Amino acid sequence: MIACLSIPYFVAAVERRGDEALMDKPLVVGGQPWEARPLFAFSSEAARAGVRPGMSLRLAYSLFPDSRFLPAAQERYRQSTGEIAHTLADFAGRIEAQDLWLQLPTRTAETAISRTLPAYYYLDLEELPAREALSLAADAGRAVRRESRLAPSIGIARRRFTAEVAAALARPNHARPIVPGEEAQFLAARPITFLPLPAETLRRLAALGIGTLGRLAAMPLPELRLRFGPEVEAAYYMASGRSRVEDAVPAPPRERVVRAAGRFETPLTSTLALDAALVRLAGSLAARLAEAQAEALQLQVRWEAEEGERGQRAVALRRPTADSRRLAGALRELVMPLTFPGGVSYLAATAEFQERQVRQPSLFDAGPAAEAGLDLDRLIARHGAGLFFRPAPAEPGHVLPERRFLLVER
Amino acid sequence: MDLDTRKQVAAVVDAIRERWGEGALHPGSQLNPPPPLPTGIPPLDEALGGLPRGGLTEMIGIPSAGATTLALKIIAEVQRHGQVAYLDLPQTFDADFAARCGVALEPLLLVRPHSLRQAAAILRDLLGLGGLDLVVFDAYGEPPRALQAALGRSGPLLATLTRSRSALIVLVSQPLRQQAPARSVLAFPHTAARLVVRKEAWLYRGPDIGGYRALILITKDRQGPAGKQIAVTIRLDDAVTIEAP
Repeated sequence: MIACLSIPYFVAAVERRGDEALMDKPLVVGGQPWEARPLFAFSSEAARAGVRPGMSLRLAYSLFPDSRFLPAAQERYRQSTGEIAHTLADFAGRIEAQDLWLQLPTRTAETAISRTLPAYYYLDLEELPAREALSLAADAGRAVRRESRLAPSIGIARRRFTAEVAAALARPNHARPIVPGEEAQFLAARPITFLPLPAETLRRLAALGIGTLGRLAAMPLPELRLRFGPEVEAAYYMASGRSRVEDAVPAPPRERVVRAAGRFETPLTSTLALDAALVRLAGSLAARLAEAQAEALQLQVRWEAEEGERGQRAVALRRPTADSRRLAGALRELVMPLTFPGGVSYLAATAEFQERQVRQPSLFDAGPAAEAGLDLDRLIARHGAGLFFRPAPAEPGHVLPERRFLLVER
Repeated sequence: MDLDTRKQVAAVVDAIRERWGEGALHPGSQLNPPPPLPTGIPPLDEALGGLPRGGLTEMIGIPSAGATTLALKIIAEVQRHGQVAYLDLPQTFDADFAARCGVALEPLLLVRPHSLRQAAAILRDLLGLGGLDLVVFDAYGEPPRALQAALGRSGPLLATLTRSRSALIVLVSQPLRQQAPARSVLAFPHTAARLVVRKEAWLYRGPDIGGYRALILITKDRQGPAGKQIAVTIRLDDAVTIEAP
């Protein structure tokens, strides 16, 4: 999950924090109305009067003469955003800050979000479940409010863009979680101005009647790509709340099986003969698996009884193996409980396989592992190789004499 | 309790055992908590009574305070009769230093997970496998809230720990800007003991540093009163030793 903390009109919020007298006054930051330069930032009241990023101070004054005009103190704003990032570092390992208040939007990059000149912070909450992500993000929001005396709004979603939109729509000091799976529904009614698209593309989309994210997501992607170019592809996935990876078509799986079979002129009637035949089948399978450098995952056995009756059974192996004894054991489990009054005339075994995994030797090789009841193979199979190590003495010619030990993968 | 009441209770107990099995009810007298693990540091054993098995011990300190050294010395002691695993999330395990602390490296299981989430999953599996007497989870440098969330959300982890006979030490870094050392960083309700380790002073041998004095504050102890302080001297010779001053 990704939590997005947004502080809209960040510069105005920092100015107001430093001076209580500015609390209810509309603000334009960047200089005085008579100075010939663009404004730096403004408050929400000025935005409602029509003030926009990049506008000249003089025009801002003519639109909203009651505004209080202040010089910009960029260093103070940077310090504030750094403090917030520092506070958030307690809550997530990976944090990204986006200072949209500093980037004067151009005509091609202006979005419904950047228009409010906010400070944005993204917290990577990895695969934390939604409810716990909400709790953690709410804690983070409270910490930011306590430490910085600013009012963040929080959006929580599986995708970054969805979290951004949720944060932009949340009230200050409130969190808006988007339940996984409901992203498209949440985004559908939002305007396409949330998308980071060039102004011309937005205009053309609007002219075609595509005014909301839902409408864009409903369009066929190849058509969109053809008409608007590849840049619209990312916007399409953002609007649908999905990622490219989810849409990727998986490659068709190639057949991964080995087979062994035997037909018997004299039907196998005794248990001993049947067992010997199963051992031979297991040996053939093991040889073919070894040739393919693979391990069997699943075994299937088919038989024909002398009376003409046919049947088959399958089993998923608890642990992948290419060992003939284990394969024979699995085949025995499949076949031996059955009864064949007239004997078996045909037996065939099929093993679905995977490439052999590099597996490390068992934990405490000398025996304490068994005593301790530790099954390191199981741990490695579950969590992957390359995580479990055994410190071992370094070779005598090690380049660093003080390094007497090396870590050897188990 | 009169005879009738006893009979009623016995009937209820029989009914529960019949429906839910023999293991559903245990008389309190049959509960035998496993003996705690001795740490090998006499003043700490005296104050704490050993590390609780099936319980979590937080060990908190700023980097270089001595928490890792303390943990390694405890590992060395536990290895005399048991098995130990070390989860090295920051990937800073120093085998040479561990050997100097007396840790037997050959039987030590060292795990280097790639993420906090993976570490929590492996920790749960290690505790679930049984057979380990001590698991040390080095989570230095992890954001406390993220750590709390990763371990806290593993309800099965805490249940597994409680059932197991392993002791769990979690090494947590104390944020440098945090002024109150006794304040819990992890704030786990399940913590059986919380030790805050502070470095007090360097000890010099001529111009060289020969060790340091450290203070161990027991800020939570389920088995006894909290608030005890233990001063120790950690000598960084060829063999690292911890002794009472």
